[in-house]
Amino acid sequence: MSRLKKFIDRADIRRFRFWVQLSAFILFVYGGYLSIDLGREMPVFICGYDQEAAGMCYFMPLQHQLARDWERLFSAAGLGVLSAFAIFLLWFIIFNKAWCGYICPLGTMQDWITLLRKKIGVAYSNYTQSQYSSLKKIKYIFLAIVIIFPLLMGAGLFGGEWRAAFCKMCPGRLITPMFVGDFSQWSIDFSSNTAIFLTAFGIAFTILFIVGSFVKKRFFCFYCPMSAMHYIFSPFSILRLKKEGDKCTKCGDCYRVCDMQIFDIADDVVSKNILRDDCILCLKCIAACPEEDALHLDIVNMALFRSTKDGFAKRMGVDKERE
Amino acid sequence: MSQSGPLKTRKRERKVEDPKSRHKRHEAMEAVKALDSIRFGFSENPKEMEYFYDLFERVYCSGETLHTDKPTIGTLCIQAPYEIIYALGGVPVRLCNGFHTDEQSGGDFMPAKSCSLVKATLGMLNQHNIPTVDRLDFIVHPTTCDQKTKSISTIEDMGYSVYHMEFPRHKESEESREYWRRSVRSFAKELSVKIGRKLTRKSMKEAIKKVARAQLAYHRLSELMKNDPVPILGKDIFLVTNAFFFDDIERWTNRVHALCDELQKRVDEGYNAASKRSPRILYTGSPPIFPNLKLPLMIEQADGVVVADESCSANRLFNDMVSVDEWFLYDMVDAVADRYLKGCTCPIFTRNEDRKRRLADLAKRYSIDGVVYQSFAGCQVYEMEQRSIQRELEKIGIPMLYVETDYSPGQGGQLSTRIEAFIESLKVRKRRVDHKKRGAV
Amino acid sequence: MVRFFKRESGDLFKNRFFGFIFKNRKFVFGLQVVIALLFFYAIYMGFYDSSKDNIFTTALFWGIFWPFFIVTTLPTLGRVFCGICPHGFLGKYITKIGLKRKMPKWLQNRYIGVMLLFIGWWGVYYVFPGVYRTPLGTAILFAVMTIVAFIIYYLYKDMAYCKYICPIGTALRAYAKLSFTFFGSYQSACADCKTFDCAKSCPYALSPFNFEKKKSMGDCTLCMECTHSCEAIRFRLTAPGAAIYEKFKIVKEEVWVYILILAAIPISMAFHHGLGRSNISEEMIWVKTAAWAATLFDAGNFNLTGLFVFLYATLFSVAAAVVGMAIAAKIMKKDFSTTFYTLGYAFAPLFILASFAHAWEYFFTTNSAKIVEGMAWGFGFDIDVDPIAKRGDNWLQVFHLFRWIAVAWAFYILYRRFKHIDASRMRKIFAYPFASMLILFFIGVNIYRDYVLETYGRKTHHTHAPQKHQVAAISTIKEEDAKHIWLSDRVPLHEQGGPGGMGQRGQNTRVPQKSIYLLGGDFSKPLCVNEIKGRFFVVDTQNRYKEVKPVKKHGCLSVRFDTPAVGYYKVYYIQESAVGTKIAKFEFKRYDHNSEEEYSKEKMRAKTIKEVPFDLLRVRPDNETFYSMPATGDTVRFLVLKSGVPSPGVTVRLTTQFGWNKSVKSDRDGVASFKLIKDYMPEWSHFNRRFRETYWVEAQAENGGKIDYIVAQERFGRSRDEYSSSAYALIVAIFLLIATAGGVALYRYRTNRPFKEVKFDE
Repeated sequence: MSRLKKFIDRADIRRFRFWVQLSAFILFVYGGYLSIDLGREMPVFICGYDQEAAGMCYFMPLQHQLARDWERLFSAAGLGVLSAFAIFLLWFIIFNKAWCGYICPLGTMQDWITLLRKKIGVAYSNYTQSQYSSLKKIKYIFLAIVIIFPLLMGAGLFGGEWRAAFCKMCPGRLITPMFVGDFSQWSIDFSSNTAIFLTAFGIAFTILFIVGSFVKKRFFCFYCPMSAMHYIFSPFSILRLKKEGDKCTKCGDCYRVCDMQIFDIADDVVSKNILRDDCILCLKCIAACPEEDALHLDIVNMALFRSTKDGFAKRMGVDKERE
Repeated sequence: MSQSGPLKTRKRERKVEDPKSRHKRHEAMEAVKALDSIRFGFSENPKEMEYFYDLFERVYCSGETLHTDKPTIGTLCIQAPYEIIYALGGVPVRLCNGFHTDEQSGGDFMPAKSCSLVKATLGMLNQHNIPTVDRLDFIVHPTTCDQKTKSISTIEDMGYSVYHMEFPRHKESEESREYWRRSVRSFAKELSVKIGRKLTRKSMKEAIKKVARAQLAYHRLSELMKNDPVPILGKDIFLVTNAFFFDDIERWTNRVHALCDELQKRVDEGYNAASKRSPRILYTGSPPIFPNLKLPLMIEQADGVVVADESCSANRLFNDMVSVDEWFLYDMVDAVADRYLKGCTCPIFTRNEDRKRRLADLAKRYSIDGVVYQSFAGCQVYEMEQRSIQRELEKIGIPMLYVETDYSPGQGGQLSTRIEAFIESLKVRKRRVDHKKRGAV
Repeated sequence: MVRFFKRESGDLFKNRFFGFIFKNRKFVFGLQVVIALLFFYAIYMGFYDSSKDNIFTTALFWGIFWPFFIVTTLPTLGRVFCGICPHGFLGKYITKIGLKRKMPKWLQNRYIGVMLLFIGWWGVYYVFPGVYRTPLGTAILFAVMTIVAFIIYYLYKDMAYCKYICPIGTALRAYAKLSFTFFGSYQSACADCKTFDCAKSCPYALSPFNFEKKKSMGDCTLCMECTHSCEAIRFRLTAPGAAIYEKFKIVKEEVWVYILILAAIPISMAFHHGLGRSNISEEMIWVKTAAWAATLFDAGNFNLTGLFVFLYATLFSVAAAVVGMAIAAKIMKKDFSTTFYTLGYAFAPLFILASFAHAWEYFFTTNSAKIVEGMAWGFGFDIDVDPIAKRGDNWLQVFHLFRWIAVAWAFYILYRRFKHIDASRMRKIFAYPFASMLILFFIGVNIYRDYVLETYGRKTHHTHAPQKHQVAAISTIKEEDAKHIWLSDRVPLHEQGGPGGMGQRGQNTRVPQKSIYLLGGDFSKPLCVNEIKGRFFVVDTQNRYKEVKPVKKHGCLSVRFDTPAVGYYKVYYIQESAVGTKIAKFEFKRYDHNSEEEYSKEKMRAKTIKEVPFDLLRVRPDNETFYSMPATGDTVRFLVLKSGVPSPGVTVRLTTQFGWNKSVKSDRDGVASFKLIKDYMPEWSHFNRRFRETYWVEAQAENGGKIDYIVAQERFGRSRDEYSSSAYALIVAIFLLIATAGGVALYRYRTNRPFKEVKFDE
């Protein structure tokens, strides 16, 4: 048992993550070819526009369901919304935000673009602290768009074109189908003004996504409404990211490697649960922490992956004692 | 000199010693005295310590110098980034001096109430008499310590070329961290120009790994001190870390690992380097620099054992490690800068929350019975922090002794009395606690 | 006494406006005087003019007082009404000149007030409906209460009327806990206080300095007297309902207020005005009981149904609460009293938020007019205004949300209050559903009421206005005169371009049904056909068929059939005559998003039946699913079958609704292919990408001297190329890529953020 623990604690988390992401990407983007269908309540961006996807991102059915007119929505027929939501919640609470860091196809694509940047040798950009605190609120605005726009449709204030407004804006719609050879989403729909605006905005956002993830690690995740939604329910999950504040020396190594620039991992030495709303649970922070047991990934109070001095030494390549 | 002729008329040769030689001689005397008390004042030293005793003897007593083949960069503070110096092919040499002789020399032009360490260092520099190296190519000083910062102009007047790195006094804010990162980056650029070598990714990576290995060696050593009974006394640990100031880093790392292997054997046998009820002491405060190891020596002569310390001649040097995300220069140099600033528990900062937490953590991990807080007379920041540290330690129920010292040898008697009294009180406490524990069973 | 205090943010008194309206003595006094004058004037008018003309009294009391000062301000600002209540205002002065005796114990019973409210007001409302709707009844109610109040104020001290006798005293105290304000004091100032000016100045003999510590405002009526005595008093904003999560001294009557008022108002109303107004109201138990009771004695003015509604509602609610709590107490091994009264506070939001929503909905649809007209009438003006919104407006639906917010909030409060009970976690989790039984009952009543009204409809007292689609006289044509005869799913009246074929939308029907009409004449000018000689066949998804008799719907002959399953349904009209067989066909695809059968090739395949001697089947392309439909530019293929055998060489003609037509001969396999052209070309602003264009396919063949003829109606949709462009998109994308990438690169290259000037050459 302790040998297994030691093996896990010394693991090269980046390689592990690369392979998990790749497998998840292939499974989800191409799964339809093998008739795999994991349902329409997936807590990650597996775009429904990809005909061969092995599931569908929860936002698309959610928006369609919320867009029903209110008489219907708030009657007993509306219980269907709750049951779909319950399934989404069940999917989510298994992995908490590790869905973002290990499985989300959009996240994987961003990591691949980052690899490309590293290969070329271009330096990354980061937000300053003040930019960070003001920009992080945008993901909640997108979440509001996902929830409120369809509701306003149901109330009769918005027209049918706005039904899945977020889906039109999402970069997943344009990029994910490309992997199965479907480029049809790269078009502007001229049938109405709203359609022109929404499809053009979708293209603009996708370009921003590509350029942004080239210069900033996990650019889109900072604005992702799914991340906001995850965070609201993350206290119920069984996977937790915990910190022992006493052991922390605030050396900042965890924050340095964090893709999402979460200051709190290093600076907060009081909280036990250190999972913040931006966290994608990529576990790079645990891998980079040189203190023994200061950060650990728990599955219902049992530590799964811990920061150890030994593991740190191995990952930095200094575990061979003598030359 | 003619030796012939009748005895009566033989001219006695008077050897007139010039001040420089006298100075050197006095220094050597001091070093010998200190080394002897370290080496021979206690029970069986670990065999591997011989290398270190030998090293000190060679360098301080016999006047051998090291690092003749590489550019030597003198540092006045541990915040000077070692990794960058190594990456550019230089050798960092810590200039902090512990000799009373040099302190007296420095006292000629320093105010009377200033820190002994600074006086000693300046005295040494003034004499152009650095014990460990032949020549000093360059001195780098991060503007941490007030008195050292102020003495930079004095040092420059002595003829050295000094580069100061701008160090912030507050480490919590984003601005201060960026400020320090820029200082480190400018330093790297400046140093590469001065030395004449380019900073490459490969050399930077190698340097980071080299320093990391040294840090891990020390961590291994200090882990062994967690054992009860301890396999080695604190005075030896201080000697080992003092050796780090000037020794070749790879050789040092290997030697420390050899020492650890021996100590591991001692632990397996259950060997106790101290006595049965020795209170475990945490030493914190101004750094003991060889040969001024008198306080740890006094503690251990009074039957205590220093198992852990929080000072910049030991623990702080090795505590925080560098972690890099992307192995490019922009990331590596920033990572190095972050390591030095963020984890630093030096009292020169505005807030000292981190130091309190570090002490509490060390106290818990090493099962400390008491803390000895030492500050050099004249070091304002250490003196001012002792109250809050005392309060913090009271909260977790650990007694603290506060002493102010300087390099003068005269204080010895009063100081050792106080320390002995403190150790005694700790022993009594320990006995009571043991009885309670046994009684409760 | 503190003369000056630096107020923290969140303290309403910090704000100048709120500080003024609450603390400025002159303003508050003026306000109280105005309200008292209006109050007495309304009562006086109620007596003076008690006819229907008097809309002032009812507007003041039921339009302004109840919806605004009680229902609206209560869950938001708290008990602010008590601060300006005329009874309290005058009562203070009456008490000053009164006897100032101590109220006897038997009168110090909050249930007096609660019962006055519960029975005296709401009980009477149900049993004698309309009494309080008339000006006279309203005036009598308030006049009586005023007299009682004045007597009590005169006799007893410490404003005991407000605490015990006033019908809304305890009720307001109970519901004010949900507000997002809290009246208390700055503890840092109170810690050193020796004079207790606030308590000394309180007319209710309360101790305001204790409110924060006790976490309860007690009987405080926000009269603001203490604010003049010391500046350390504050009126701070809190999270909504923050007071109700705290551990405060439990007042049993408050819990009973929650339960009884919930029974008296939302539940009784759901029974009486909701279920009682549905088409199955006779089945309801209270109606049955009332009917039975009516046989026993003559009620007269007494409304038996109302009485039993009230009784049953109370019975069910109290039973739900008590039984649920009793079980919960048993599970947690605690005594009933502690459990019931600690957790009973969770029922607070149910009434007040539902009432809040109702009051506001009513305001928008009716009250906004009533108040204006009433107040105007009271002062001699006669104006007529329209209310702000109409009954059926869609956005009013938002008010229906409130009862669910109330339910969610009630569950949450229950969860928080469970923390005050000391029991093991598992037991508490098991006890939770039982403790929330009243909430579940409330949910159940609401869902049941909605379900009943939806399924069985509302009772109507008068005939409906004619349906939306006015069926004017549709011209008809005799079958023999018609040039073409075909089947369609739309009556030839309204041109709709919307999604095809969804004839029903969630009405009272259980199984969806489809109506297909028989049309004749010109394709471009369809008319209804009558006097037919042929027969109708309906084929279901399993290819079973039966003959169906047509009915007249909207003046047209039509067949109606159930479409329970997912798949293709076909309708055939076959008319056999001496010259040949004329067949009209309509194929209808029923699908829904939840079906898993979208990939079933079997269901997709076009099939024929033996009764049809001459058939045209649309051959499905390989990749067709239930979600796809032929579009512009696609090729549609039709298989011609003579008695089930593919027949080549048959002339097949396709005609679109805009007049284009083309004839081909069926090939060796009997298949005729057509490419659907783009002929829907309206003005771009009228272009509807969901437009389904109708087309007809006809085939004619010789059959032993006779001529057989079949016509089938189909639809095709728009292809993406008609309205979306990839070329433009690509141009936009490339332009944006260059712009963004260039912009970012330029920004990174040129910006010298502070401290980032030094850059490395890798």
